Amino acid sequence: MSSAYRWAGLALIALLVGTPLVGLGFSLLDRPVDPFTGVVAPLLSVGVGVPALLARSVALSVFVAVGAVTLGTWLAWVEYRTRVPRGWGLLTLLPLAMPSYLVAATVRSSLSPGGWIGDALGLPHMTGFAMAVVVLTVITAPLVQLIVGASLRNASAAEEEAALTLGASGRRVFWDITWPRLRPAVGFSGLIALLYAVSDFGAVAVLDVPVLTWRLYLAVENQDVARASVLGAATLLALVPVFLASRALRGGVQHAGAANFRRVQPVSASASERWMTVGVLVLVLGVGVVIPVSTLLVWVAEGWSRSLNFVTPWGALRDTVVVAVMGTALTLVLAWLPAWVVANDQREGRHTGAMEDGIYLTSALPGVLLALGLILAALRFTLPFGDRAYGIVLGSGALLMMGYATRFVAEVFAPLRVSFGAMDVRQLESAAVLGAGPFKRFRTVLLPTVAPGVMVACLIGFNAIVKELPVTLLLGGATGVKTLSFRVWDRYNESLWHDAGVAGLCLVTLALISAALTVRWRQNA
Amino acid sequence: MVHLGHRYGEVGALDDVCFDVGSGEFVALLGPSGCGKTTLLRAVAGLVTPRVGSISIDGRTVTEDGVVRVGTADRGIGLVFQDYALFPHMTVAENIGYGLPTAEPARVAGLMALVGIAGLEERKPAELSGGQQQRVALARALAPRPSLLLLDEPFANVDAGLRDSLGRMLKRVVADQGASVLMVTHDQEAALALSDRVIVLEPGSAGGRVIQDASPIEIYKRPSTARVAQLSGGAVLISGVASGTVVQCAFGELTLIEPREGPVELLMRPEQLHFEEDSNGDATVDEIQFHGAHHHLRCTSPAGLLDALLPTSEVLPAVGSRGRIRVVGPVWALNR
Repeated sequence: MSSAYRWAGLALIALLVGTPLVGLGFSLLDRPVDPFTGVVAPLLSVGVGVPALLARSVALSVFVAVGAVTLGTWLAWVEYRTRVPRGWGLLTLLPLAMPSYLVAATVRSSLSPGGWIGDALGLPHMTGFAMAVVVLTVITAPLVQLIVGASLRNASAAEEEAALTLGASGRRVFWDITWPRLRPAVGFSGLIALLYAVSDFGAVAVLDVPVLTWRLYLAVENQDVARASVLGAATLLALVPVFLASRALRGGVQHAGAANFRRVQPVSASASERWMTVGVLVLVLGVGVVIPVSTLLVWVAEGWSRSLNFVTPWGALRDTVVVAVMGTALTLVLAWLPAWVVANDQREGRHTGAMEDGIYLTSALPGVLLALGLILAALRFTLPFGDRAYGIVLGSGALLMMGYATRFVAEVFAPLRVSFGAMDVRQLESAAVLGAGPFKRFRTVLLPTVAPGVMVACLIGFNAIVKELPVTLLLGGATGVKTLSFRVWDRYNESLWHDAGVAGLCLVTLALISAALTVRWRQNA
Repeated sequence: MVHLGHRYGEVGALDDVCFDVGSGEFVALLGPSGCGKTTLLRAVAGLVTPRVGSISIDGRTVTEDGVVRVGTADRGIGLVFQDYALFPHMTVAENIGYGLPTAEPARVAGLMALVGIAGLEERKPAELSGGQQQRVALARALAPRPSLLLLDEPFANVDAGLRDSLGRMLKRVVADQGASVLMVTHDQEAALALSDRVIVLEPGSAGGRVIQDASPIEIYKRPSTARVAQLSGGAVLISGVASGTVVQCAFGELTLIEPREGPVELLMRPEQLHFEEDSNGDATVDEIQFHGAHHHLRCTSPAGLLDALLPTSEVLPAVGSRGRIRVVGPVWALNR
């Protein structure tokens, strides 16, 4: 692997990560802060309750992480250690396709007084901290299930059988053999859930939970740059320890495979295990899929029955697809070189820490913070070119595309890296020896070989952009593009439920199709 | 190839390696793991650029002191990888025709017939056995009519039963195509059986270096060092004192292949050592292994532990039997 490629990859990552951080940094430095107290004083003094917001964000994330690990690990265990019906994995992963703001909005609407469930059961208003914990837990549990499930799938039956033949009880086998293998995956997935919860903006906004990201969004929307900068810095502060912890655990998730690997055979679940699984399933699928989809249908049906005017969703659908395809293409192009460099360096036993850290740092930045950083950077860098320059950058959609690429480069990078890493590089060498030039090698050998991985990367990127809200709201507004997520948010806040329902159903359908295609292509990758 | 040297970071891979391959010649690079033989092969292919020295193919200098003058694609070579590296998404015919500048169905069909895989044109590599995959890899490498064919451990992934027939096929096919061959292997039987010349490499602190370059018979019968003797087959090495063509050692007086003087190390191959039962003998059978045509007898003798061969047709002594070791034929003396 040429060092020129390596440096180019690093420069690319530095640009992606650095631009929003530099924007935020400049904004903080521009403020007339006390040189002796630095940014700590403004953090404590701007507005009221920055420490309280920080504490609430951390508390919410910790509750969500604990809940997601509990539910997700149980679902993974049931999937790989007990006999489950065909399609179980896909079914339990469905909440992953649901945007958090949509789940929060539909759950709040349906369970509260006046809602189709709330009225029937006489429930109080379903908002606030506890409800946000439930919604975010249900949405992040499938993430834990995926990561812990991969670890369980790679667990060697021989290791556990060896312990059994040496006289260990089932309980001891679990704690001595199985748990040490699962522990890094459980820890890592918990931190991913934690990062998701810290970064989430839609669900907490809908459920009226005053946390950093929600207040940060309001500050940006109100063009209060000073407050936004300080809240952004506080959000960043909250993320640093979580990111560092996840970085430390990331490498431990993968175990070396045993020779003649054989998987642990699933067994029939006991009656108590079945009841517990049914309970978890009702919670995860009920809150994550059934209630949201049913509520969207109820909204549309009510609008229909009252003969309300519907705004056709086709324009928003077209905008969503166009924006998502363009954003995915750009993200794919930007992720390609780092993925290629990291895959080859790992194959050659080189250290790839800096590049991977940079990539994963981009995914750790909350969408609101990222959008704010890009806005501040654009404001700063367009200053010498006059007032119109910033408007052109924002209005052209360039900032929106950069926002998507930065936000989702890690999600596209991961399957690309796996695909490149699994490729037999000797096939490329073989093609070179047979006289094929670089383009022919790319077209006839590399691309067909990694096509399933590239397809998975594209679908993951597409799905993420379709659902993305804060980047779309903050960076896409000036472009005139109205995506489905924008439409859902806008119509929900205007209490135009029937329009929000139509847009939401289109959004869910699009997300589910791309998620189903991802599962299908992943099997080929 | 002139005074080639290469390092991977601080680790030496090749140290002043120098040899040539004549037109139509079959040369084997024999050596243990880590001696740099695969690096050497990759350097010839252009997949590694050696830091010092030069490589010439057909009179063209392709690399010189770390500078690539002719890229991999233009060197006119064929390479069969150890794990074949077939393109999994292409059919057998597409794999074989890949390196041809224009479609030549007749050439592809001819090569398929030559390597014995006619009728498998539309199969994908995953639908082939290991032996068939190797034949496809060989046909693919030969299709563009390379002047030099490189083979990287061609029998590493083939079971023992197939090895002989594939070896014969390989020799016949490359002779038919008129290509020179440079084969990397740690399999001494394949190196000795197939090649016209064997180059033995040994790992050193500065990288692998050539320790002998000779015909297979020369390598086997007259190795330059004890290491070459061990790499080229079973070897029993004992010390002795030579005087002309006679040498005194633990087995008494033996005849030397070449006259020598003074202390020497004697090389005896297992087939030269015969065990003869004798209740007054100074050797004891410790262990017996059946190897088809022969029994391997591990014996304790005045020269130490050694393996002697006993044809299966002869009467087998019991473990613990006493006897004498008789050395058949002249022996080779190495410097001590």
